[in-house]
Amino acid sequence: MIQRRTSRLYAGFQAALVFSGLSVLAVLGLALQIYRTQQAILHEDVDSVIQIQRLRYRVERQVSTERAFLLTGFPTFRRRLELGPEIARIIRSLSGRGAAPERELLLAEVSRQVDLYETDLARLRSGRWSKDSALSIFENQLQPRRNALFQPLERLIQLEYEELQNAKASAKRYGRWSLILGAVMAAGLVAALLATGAFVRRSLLALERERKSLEAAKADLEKLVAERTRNLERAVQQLEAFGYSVAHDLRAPARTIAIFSEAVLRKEASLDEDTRGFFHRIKEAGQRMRLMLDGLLTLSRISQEKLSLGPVDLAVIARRRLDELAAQEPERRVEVRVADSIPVQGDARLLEILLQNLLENAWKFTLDRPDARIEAGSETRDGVRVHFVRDNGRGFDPALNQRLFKPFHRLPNAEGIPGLGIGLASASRIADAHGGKIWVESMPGAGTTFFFTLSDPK
Amino acid sequence: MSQELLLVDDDANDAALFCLAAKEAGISYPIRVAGSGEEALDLLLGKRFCPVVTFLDIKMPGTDGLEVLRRLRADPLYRNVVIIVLTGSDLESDRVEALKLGCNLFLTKPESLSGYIEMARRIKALLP
Repeated sequence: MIQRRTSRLYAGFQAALVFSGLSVLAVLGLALQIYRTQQAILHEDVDSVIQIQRLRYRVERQVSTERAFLLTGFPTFRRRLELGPEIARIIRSLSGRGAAPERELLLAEVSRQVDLYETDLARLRSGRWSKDSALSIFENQLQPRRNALFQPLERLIQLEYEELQNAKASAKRYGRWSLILGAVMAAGLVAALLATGAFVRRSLLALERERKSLEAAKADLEKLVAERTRNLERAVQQLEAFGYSVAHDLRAPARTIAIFSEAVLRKEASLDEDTRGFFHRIKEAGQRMRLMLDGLLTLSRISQEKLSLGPVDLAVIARRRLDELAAQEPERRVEVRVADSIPVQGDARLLEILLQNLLENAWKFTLDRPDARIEAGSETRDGVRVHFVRDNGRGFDPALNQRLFKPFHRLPNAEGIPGLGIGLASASRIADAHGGKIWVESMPGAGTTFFFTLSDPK
Repeated sequence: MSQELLLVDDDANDAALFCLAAKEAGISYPIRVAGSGEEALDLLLGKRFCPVVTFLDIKMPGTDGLEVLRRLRADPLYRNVVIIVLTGSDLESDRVEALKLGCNLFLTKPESLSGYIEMARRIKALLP
């Protein structure tokens, strides 16, 4: 939903940008046209008209000066005026502006007529004429020349005026169009802005609504999770309690099985060999079951009991337990290395069980070695205090690592070594209860090291 | 005083076991079994039955062993009879409570027949 809205918003912005860009380009183009037209009007067109007018005026003056000289004979009127450069200037300014063949023709005509006029004028001045004949030549030859020159000039002026009018009209048109376009553009921009604003506002409102509904959903979810967690915790507790009571209640029948098998076995004389064997098996199974149930009860108690925390020295416990083990089997030679002191925070009774299990394990699995060695110590790994019990006993395949800590899992190479597979499970639960963990590093034949942490006791 | 032993235990298996062990140990007294606290109280207080020794289990549905013990010791007739608690519980609180209420011995049920028989032999040595 949000994604769709966002992409639509972007599309809207892009469209508005493209529209604005095009409008700006159009207005710039129009403005350029207007500017050009104005330039043309202001400079070139007006300029050429003025020049043509000036030429006309010069010719007019020339003619009237000449006439005055002829009438009065005053030398002041005998000034010579050069029309050639003037014509050249006009032609330069007018030619090349658009392909107007009529103008080119007119210009050529003007140029020709000026030449003729000047030639006639020169002839008039160079001859020695009487006053009357000079006037007559003037009237009959120069005046028509002048008129012939004026005709294309008049036409040129007219042409230039027309062009000026055209330019004016087109400037007006462009101005009108640019006004209309500007108005349309402004209206369009305002409309686009309004639409965008409305759209943004709607989008924001929708987003806000969505955020609120998400928040509500989140709160619901959190409530649900909390409830589920409570249910789960209750279920786990019930399961633990159920497990405990099952284990507890099964102890009596298991004991009965073992004891009455024993009772049968007491009547040895009346039993044949096979029957005796069967009852031995029943008795042992009953006893084993009893021990397993005891183990389960111990495990269950560890998980349910509340820790009573205090300072504990693991080294003291380790030394005491190893002394007891040595006293039980005085014939064994085991080299014992225990750190001077391993101070920790924890539940003394549970930590004793943990350490006892690990040490008994080490003790049992070094049975085959004449140079048995058991170490208990502590080191810092990655800033965490790690305690360990190390032996140089049988060791095992590292692939079995994690299964080891599950109840009733025993190592495949544990033949001849007593045990139920409860000790390490208990140790793991105790480490867990202390907010720590337990793991093992081992290689077959190279011994085993159990590590555990007790950081962050609960 | 009748020359009998009384065993109060709701678990018939344990009762049978006790009788077996007593026989093996050579206890010659007949053993009467009460299957509940109520039955025991009815027999003792109601019928004024007075055994040589009473063996009392603690964990029983209904009237438990501690209640039976309390009621017996409250009666002058049973103030001085020998009462031995024989229970599967090894709870320290039960032991303390039972001794406070006046049991003469607090025994935990053995885990094997040989244990039972050994216990029965020790008890036999105490019997008149």
